[in-house]
Amino acid sequence: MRMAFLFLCIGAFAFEALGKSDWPIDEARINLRDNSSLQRGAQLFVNYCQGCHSAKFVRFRSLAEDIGIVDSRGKVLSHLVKENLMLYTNNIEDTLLSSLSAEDAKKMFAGVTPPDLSLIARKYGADWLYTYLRSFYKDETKSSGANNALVPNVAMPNVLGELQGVQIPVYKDVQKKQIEKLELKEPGKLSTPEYDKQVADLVNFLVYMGEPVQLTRRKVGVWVVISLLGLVLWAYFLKREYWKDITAHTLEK
Amino acid sequence: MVKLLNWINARFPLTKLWNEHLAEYYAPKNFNIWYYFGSLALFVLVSQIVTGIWLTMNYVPTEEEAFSSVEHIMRNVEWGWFIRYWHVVGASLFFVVVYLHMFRSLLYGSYKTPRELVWLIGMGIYVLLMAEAFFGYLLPWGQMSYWGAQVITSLLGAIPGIGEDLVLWIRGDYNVSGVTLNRFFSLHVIAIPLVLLGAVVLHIMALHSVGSNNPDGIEIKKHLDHSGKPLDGLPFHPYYTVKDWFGLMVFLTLFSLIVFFFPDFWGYFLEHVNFDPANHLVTPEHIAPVWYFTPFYAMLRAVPDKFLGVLVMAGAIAILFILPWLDKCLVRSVRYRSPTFKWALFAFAVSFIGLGVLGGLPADPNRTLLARIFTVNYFFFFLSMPFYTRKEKTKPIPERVTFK
Repeated sequence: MRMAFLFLCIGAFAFEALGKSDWPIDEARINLRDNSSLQRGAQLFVNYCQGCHSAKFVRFRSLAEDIGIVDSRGKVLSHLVKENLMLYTNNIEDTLLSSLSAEDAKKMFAGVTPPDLSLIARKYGADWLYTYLRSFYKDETKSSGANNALVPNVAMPNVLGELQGVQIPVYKDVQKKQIEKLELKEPGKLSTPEYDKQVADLVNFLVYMGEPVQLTRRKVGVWVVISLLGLVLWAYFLKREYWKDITAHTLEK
Repeated sequence: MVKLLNWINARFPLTKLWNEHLAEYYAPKNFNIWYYFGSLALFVLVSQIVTGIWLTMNYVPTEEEAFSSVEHIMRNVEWGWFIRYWHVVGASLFFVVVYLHMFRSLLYGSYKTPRELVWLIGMGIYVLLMAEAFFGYLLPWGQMSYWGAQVITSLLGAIPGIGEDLVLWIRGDYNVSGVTLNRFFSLHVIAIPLVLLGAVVLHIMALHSVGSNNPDGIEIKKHLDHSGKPLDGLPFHPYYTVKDWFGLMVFLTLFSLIVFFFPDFWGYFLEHVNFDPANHLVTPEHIAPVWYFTPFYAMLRAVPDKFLGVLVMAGAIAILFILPWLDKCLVRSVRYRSPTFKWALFAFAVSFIGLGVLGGLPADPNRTLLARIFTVNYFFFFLSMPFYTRKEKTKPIPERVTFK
């Protein structure tokens, strides 16, 4: 029991250290049917995320099939997958593992292991991720040189900084460090609308990875529900046929 | 065919069973929508067992593999996602159906003489179902699975004297761990379902021996025709088999809408935090059980003392067992009962739903106050029942069933 309490305290502390914020959440405009967006997202993922994060439940081959890296007959174009997405492996049956080991990661990020991203979108949702990835700002007091308005004191550095540029906070209350908004101080490789679109692509890909089957699920669902509605109708008329003579006192004779 | 049937009947009471429970089981003809939920509960039970069997084929009950094996089912197993979602949604819908089934009993007094044992066995099933759901919830080994089990098992630690040893005995470890996962798995896939199935058979046997109640709460056996069949009864088969079949089709449509389009039901059926694998070092910000346990969880939190809270929570369930003896009114159906009872039942339903909502939200002083009011009202409904039902001003009950 005492152990349990201790663990609870440690746990509570680990969470509290991250802190909360009431930073407004922006809506991510994503489209899972847009394969080119998913492909751009996949490329961003392997270039900017996979260095530290894995997506250990996702296989390159099924990924390629799902986001349309296939020829006209539906066969996976392995050479394209290898050239564009497989940075750390040659085997297309592999999953999207990071090259960074858990031990090294812990050393790099003050004890925090970068989480696996396979299910990150199911945990946080698209809008949250979209906001998070656009809310980094310059903070010299942090070892990574950056902080995040949505998740204050997050251990993750501003990986996409070179694309977005450098944002600085405009404070509502400097003493309490309440941020009103973020301002772009130095532009990055992309303009703000371009950057937002790229982040949306990345989020689209993360949402896809969270549940690769979701499009199929809905497609199958339409047919299942339509068929069932037919059965409902049939069952209704069947019941009515059997019950047509039953009224309050039919059996009173 | 007839020959085969005769051959079987000479050795096994097949026709007898068929007649007793279906073809010649006379059910009142005025069943309304509330009477669908019994057969639906039976369907969900079977569907949970079938999907459970298939899940067990690929699920690995170890600390290292549990979470991954669920994702393996979701991603690599053919139609695994469908089976898993069906099982998850089924668990929640089981409680939806069972709560409605139980409330039907409150509405029409189905727990009263001579159906006390139907009610008692039913309550047994409800408790088993809660155990089944609790054990099953640990298996995906997500953060909420882990911390939910951790919190709920730790409650037993509040029992004076034996508490801490009891917790250790249940968990098999100082904390919820792989050992706990193994035993919960075993209980979830074998022990509880086995007892549950047996209890359901008893529930139906007891019901068919006393006969079904109905929305008027009157006895259909009082008016028999010349062959001794109830005038206001219909043979269950085909009348209620076709009617329940229709109910089942509607239910399946709703079921499928959820499974195929909203399988996590906005975090109510599959909690978002549970997509994070169990981590004993990081506590989720807000630990709440799945929605069907939240009324009791709200009661637990409403009581400042932990042990008293556990007692209140257990008492909330225990008191349901003695309901048939708390209600002194001879009239069964709410249709003919006093306004006092109607208001009491209404206030009870509001309290239970209110507690359910509050139990899913983080606590704050206002919510705690509200939860306390609801908790008091929950118990007040039952404890004061012998008084407000003893000399209840009821309306005259009809001789024969009515269609409304």
